[in-house]
Amino acid sequence: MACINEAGDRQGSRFGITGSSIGIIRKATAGLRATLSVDSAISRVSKGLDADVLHDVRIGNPPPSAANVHQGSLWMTATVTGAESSNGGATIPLAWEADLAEGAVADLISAQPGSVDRVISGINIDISA
Amino acid sequence: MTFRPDSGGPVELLTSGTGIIQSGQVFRAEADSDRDEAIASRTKEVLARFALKVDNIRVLHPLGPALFVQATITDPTEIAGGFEGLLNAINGSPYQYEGLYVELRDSSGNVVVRGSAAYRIGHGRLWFADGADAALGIGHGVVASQLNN
Repeated sequence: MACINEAGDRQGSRFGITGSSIGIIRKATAGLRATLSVDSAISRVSKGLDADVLHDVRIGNPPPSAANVHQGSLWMTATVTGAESSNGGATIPLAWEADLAEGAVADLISAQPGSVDRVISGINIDISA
Repeated sequence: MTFRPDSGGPVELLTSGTGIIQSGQVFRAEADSDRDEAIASRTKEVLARFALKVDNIRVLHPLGPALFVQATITDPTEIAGGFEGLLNAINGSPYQYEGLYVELRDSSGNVVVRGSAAYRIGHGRLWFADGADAALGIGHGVVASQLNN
């Protein structure tokens, strides 16, 4: 199994770009989405994902083992279920929903684009059958 | 997001490299207010061009659309441009979706490849069956740029 954890600087041009991005950031929309509380953000994002897969999403402090992240930042934990097995990449579609949740919640709670406040530094994903 | 704690100093947001993304991204399908039916329809057209049989297409909405695709492949060599070419064709440029999951199975139902990406966190995952990397043009370490980019 190969795991990837990469991102680059591909920039869209449709609305103009601020900084490094792989999507589109409208110039006028820095802050297009109102900043939400953690609970509100989790509630909103969870509604758009599969409730049969993504069961529990929480935000807390980074674990002590995450020594390289800013301890003032936030950390997500998510529980997903439905793995037919642990082989053959079967957990990938489940973990994907947790990945989507992390990114969406992070966007909704961030103080403003580019800010280092209220940043989610990582995620623990618990996967079960 | 990736941060580099400066010893004793302020936390610094890295300006390039692994996992770097911007908050507040609006991907094309969201910007265009694409309906799920339209997304499914154009995805089916792409899969047909690659001689893939559609098994399942779902559109999730963490914020904007994220696309889940399962399809059957009869011959990996039929995929022009390999797996990366398929992902590029599905997602377009600029990216249409904030997330993408693509799973291909052979005609016996065995999974050949599973790839996912979540572009708001700049993170992807990939698994492929033995030998599928060569057949589908999947590189090691860098894999498909669509998943990495």
